[in-house]
Amino acid sequence: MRKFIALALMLLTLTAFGQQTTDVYSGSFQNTAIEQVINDIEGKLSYTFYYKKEWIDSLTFSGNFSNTPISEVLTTIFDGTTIRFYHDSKKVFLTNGIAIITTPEIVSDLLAQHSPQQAEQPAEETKELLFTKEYAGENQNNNDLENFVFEVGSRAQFEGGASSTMVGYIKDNSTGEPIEGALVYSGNKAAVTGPDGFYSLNLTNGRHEIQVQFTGMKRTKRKIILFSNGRFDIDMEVDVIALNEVIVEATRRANIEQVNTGIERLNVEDSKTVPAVLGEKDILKVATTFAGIQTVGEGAAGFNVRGGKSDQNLFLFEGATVYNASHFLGFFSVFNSDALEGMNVMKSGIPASYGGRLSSVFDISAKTPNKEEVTVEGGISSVTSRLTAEIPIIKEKASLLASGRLTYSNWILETIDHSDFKNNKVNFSDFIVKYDHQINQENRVSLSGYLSEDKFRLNSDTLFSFSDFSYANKMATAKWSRRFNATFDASLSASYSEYDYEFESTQLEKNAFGQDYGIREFGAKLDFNKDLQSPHQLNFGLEAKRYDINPGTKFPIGSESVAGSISLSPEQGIEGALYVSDNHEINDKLSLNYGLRYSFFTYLGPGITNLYLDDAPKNPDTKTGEIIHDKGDFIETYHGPELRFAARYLLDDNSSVKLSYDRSRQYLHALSNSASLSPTDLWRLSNEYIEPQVGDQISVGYYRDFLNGEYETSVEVYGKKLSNLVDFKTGADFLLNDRIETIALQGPGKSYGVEFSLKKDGRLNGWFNYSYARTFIKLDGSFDEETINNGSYFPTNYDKPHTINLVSNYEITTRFSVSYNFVYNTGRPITFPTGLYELNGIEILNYSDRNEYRIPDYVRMDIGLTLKWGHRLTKGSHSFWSVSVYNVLGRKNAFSLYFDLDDGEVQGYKLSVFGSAIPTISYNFKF
Amino acid sequence: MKRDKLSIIKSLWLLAVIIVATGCVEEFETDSIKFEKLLVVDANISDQAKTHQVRLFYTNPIDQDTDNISNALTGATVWVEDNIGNRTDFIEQSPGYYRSPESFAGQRGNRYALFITTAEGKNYQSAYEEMVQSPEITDIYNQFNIELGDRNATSVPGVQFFINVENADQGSQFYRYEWNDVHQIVVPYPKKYEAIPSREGYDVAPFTLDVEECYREERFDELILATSTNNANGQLVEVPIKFSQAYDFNVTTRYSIEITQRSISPEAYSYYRKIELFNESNGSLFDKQQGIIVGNVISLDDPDERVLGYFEVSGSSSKRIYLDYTALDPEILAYLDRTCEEYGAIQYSGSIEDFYAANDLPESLRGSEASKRSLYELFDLGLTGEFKFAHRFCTDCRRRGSLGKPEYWQ
Repeated sequence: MRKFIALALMLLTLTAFGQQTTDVYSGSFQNTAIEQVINDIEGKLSYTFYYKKEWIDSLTFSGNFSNTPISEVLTTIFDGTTIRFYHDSKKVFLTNGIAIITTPEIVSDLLAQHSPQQAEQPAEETKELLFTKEYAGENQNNNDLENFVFEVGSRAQFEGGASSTMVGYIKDNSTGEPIEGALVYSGNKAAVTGPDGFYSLNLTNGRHEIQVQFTGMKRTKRKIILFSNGRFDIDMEVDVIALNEVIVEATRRANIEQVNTGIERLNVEDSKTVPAVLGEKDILKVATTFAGIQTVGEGAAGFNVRGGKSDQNLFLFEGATVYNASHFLGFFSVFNSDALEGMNVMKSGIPASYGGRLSSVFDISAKTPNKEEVTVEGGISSVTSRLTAEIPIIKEKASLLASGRLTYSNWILETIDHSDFKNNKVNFSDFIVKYDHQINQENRVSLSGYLSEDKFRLNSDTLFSFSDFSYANKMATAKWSRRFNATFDASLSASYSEYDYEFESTQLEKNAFGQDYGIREFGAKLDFNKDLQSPHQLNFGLEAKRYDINPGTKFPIGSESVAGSISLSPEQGIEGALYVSDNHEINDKLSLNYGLRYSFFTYLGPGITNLYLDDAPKNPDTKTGEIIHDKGDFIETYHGPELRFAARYLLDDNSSVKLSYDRSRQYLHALSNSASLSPTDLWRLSNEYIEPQVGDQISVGYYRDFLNGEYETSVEVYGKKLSNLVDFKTGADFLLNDRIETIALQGPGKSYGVEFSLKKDGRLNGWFNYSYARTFIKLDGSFDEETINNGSYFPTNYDKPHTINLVSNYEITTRFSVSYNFVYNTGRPITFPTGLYELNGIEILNYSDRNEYRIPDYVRMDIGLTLKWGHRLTKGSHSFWSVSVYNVLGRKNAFSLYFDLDDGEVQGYKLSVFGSAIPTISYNFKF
Repeated sequence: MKRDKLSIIKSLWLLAVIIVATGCVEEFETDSIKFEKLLVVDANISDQAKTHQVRLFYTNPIDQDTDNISNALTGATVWVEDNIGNRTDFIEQSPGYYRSPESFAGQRGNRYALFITTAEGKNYQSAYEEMVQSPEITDIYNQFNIELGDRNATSVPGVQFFINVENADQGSQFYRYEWNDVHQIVVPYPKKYEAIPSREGYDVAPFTLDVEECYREERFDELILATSTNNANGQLVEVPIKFSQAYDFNVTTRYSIEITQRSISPEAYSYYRKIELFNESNGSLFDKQQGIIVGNVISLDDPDERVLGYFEVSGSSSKRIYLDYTALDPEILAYLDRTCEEYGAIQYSGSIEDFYAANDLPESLRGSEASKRSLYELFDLGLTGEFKFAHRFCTDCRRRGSLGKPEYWQ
């Protein structure tokens, strides 16, 4: 009998909410506004409905009722809408899109296992107790979701003192989009939603207040009574103020609770008020204000993360590798921030699912397009204009994002009173498309594509015609995510990336030639997440990549040209990895995340191995022969384990200590003998002579929040040991070089540093950090030409010991805010001339040891104002103006120093990129 | 040839700086730089019979002149040996300059090395380098061109001299070029009288020196390199050698350029190429990594001592052309300011003081014609004693050249 009651109760909770009454209702409607229907019911049955008018404004109803039970009436009325209801005697509470309390199918199997036992228990008694004593009355006279008390799970299965798992989806109520990265927590227990907005939280049964936070959304909370395993979805509202706020809320609590060190999530919103050069809001540029992320100088492409080389960062866009993340040689990033959701930056504690680069991962994701309504966003600044549209294709299921950005900087060139640049042309553009299809709760497919192109035509030399130069990134990704049940999901993705450049030099007709380079990468990844319920969460999978590289071809242009053709033999390689990691919550305080990645790489034929004398430096003179490899031969294979470990210990509610160790292996190297990344860098594969780079990092940190998380602070100390860093013999020329081993040098490196960081939330918000960081390399070959600086450790080009960043924003009113940035860092190392001599009648400079000197220190201040019109909730267009002054002090920061010989006299020059203050005004809109 | 992608990127980068920024270049004090004193071997021998020279100097601090005698390595024993044991001594003629006998010429196909023993007994030796013949330069020609200014950004019209070498594959395929040129200047109004400023004004006196015909010689001051290794049929075509500004020809009557081609070893080429790349540096991020460049000379006593410079062994061939200024690329003629044709001569019957007087007035009052008068000088007297003035470039050839015809001038 008890079994029967329990089952009935369970069914009850499944089918409707609240108590059933016997009220019946009659009425007939034809395209009647639902509000009118509600008024009719209220009038006839003296019911009271609680709802927000805007939820039902657009809804109508057609149909007839004749003495129909009220529960059936309500079900019929709201069928096919997002409105859910809770019916309690004479009161009906409506909610928008929130499945208030239900027992989802996905946990029903769990329930099924437990229900026989639980049904044995006197659940009713406890339930009554709870209801009457604890929340009777709270759920009355209230249409406020935050104070309403929801029931989760089945009362029949309530077991006092036990724990249950609550699962659900967090969505944006205006777009219906799942929110990834939202923090759902109650007390000490917290969960972060996955890509589909899904969370899973294990709590003791009973009453809880669930808090939900996400950048750009209003923080919200729900009162629940957790009876048993159950599902509870929460919709979040867009925070009207948040559009321009610098918000780091998503990481609130995450600061101290996240297990890994050195991981930051940057949302596009974060970048909006940071004053930027020429008004281009740029998420990657904002990243450089974080502790430990540096660039060589203003306008330099490539990042140096914690003393890593600029080719040691893995940039992923929707999972596809980005080989050149810069437009215009580094002044802009290749991503239009309007089309981006956000970016995870990992500088240590890199999870086992990522690999292939030593220093960091920048995981960039495109916006999941709005599935409810069309939105358009754009902006105009002095250099570019951009437009992004989100278009629902199948309402609530499928949608499309299309975004484009173009430059029109040619007019600037025309206005420059400088003959050298009059006839030059500069163009760049980028496009993003993404199609997202939520087939059902379990399956989701997304397809994305990316294209960026830079084209230049330069009047570049003494010989009066032009050189054309262009480079392009192309990427495509297809991803299928599937959730098998509450604790198991998987995703399968395939990606393609391509980076090419080409230039043509046609100024001398008879020597006109073109030259190109290209890399293509095909990748596939299968990733699984299995929640073994507390305390273990497993992530495992495998990844495979194939690389095809055209290291360079040179070809004559025009029939007059006598330039010879050179075609370096293509390179091929495959890279694979298996990984498994476990998020292990040992107890409330101690949590571990450990994993192992095993990667391997094979350099594939066809190809030629050059042989050299054993006891001589490798150069064309010491070549003794060659071995020819056939197609598909495994010329050289490297493999090795990469251990990843992170631990977090909560000292108290507001502070924690963390430790992480990770090892990475890198099989792909950018050959560049300039100080920063350049579009003409050649990515080449490890081969029989170029060994993979290996890096180990240990990082320890202390984290503390103050004033309920308004202030977040941290101190992190790290040490890195790197081996096989790739560098070059002095003056080496690697273009069109088939024998990289004759010019490349490999040596160990070491980096260490400490980073202090403070973030503040509220009307005055922003962050401040100070880093002390050093990085060295040693190139000590067996021969003179392979040894730099006598084979001792010397600072790298990007060794900048002291860095201070301050990014701040103050909201004077909700419409008006001001921001201020301050940046200081030590000048980078540089090689200076130390002597002068004459050879064959020509004067020549002799240089110091590599990187023996430094350029002057860098100091910059920026200010910005943002003024917005219209609020998102008014549904009208929303726009904002921003005015900023970059380098407000007008300080001529040295970018580099160089030396010229003018009539036998050595003259030193300082080159500054921004020699004065740069004011910018830009207009941005969204509707 | 000289152009490569790197400099395209550099220009592009500088362009970027200019577009998006207010990039600027300022002078920088070089005081903080410490000096490193190293031996520099500046030596080359060729297959031409002549006095060859080895210069042995130490490096200078960057703010001093390179010809500082106190930096010379004096008192050393210097000789060249070939692979069959022939030794040629180089005798010190002046501090740091060591010279071979006049008859010395390298033999093609032989390999040579340089030996140095200093007065203190330190020994240095170069690698053995083979002497490879240099094919003939097929022709030398010029084309109108506008050269972009360096930092000061003014474009300069002029002519670019090129060479073609048909059988470039018959030499070592790696070449270094040297040039020297000469402008012959014959002025139309050679000075017979001159006006000498005195307390009262000007004294007119006869001028007896013959300043009608002068020559202005210049030589290369940068590395010019080319290789035919990458060319389809072993030719060298359109190798840019020298750029001359249009201004250089404003009073030139005849011009001659001699270009010497040196067939050097691949090692020498790669050594010079590094130097060339470093000298091209302009501070952009795409500059090559700079550093010390050592050549083919080593210290036999101290393997850690770094020796700069190079012992170059080359076959050489030269070609000289002569041309009248009217034979330059016709396009340049529009840019040529032929000073003497433009200014002509003025016969003036007032006083010299009056001729120049208007110069003190502001230009708005004196007019442009009067302002030009400052450029004129007296060169002759008319039949009735009136003064004849002409542009000073057209009265005294020494203003744009030197007296004395070079021996080779035809």
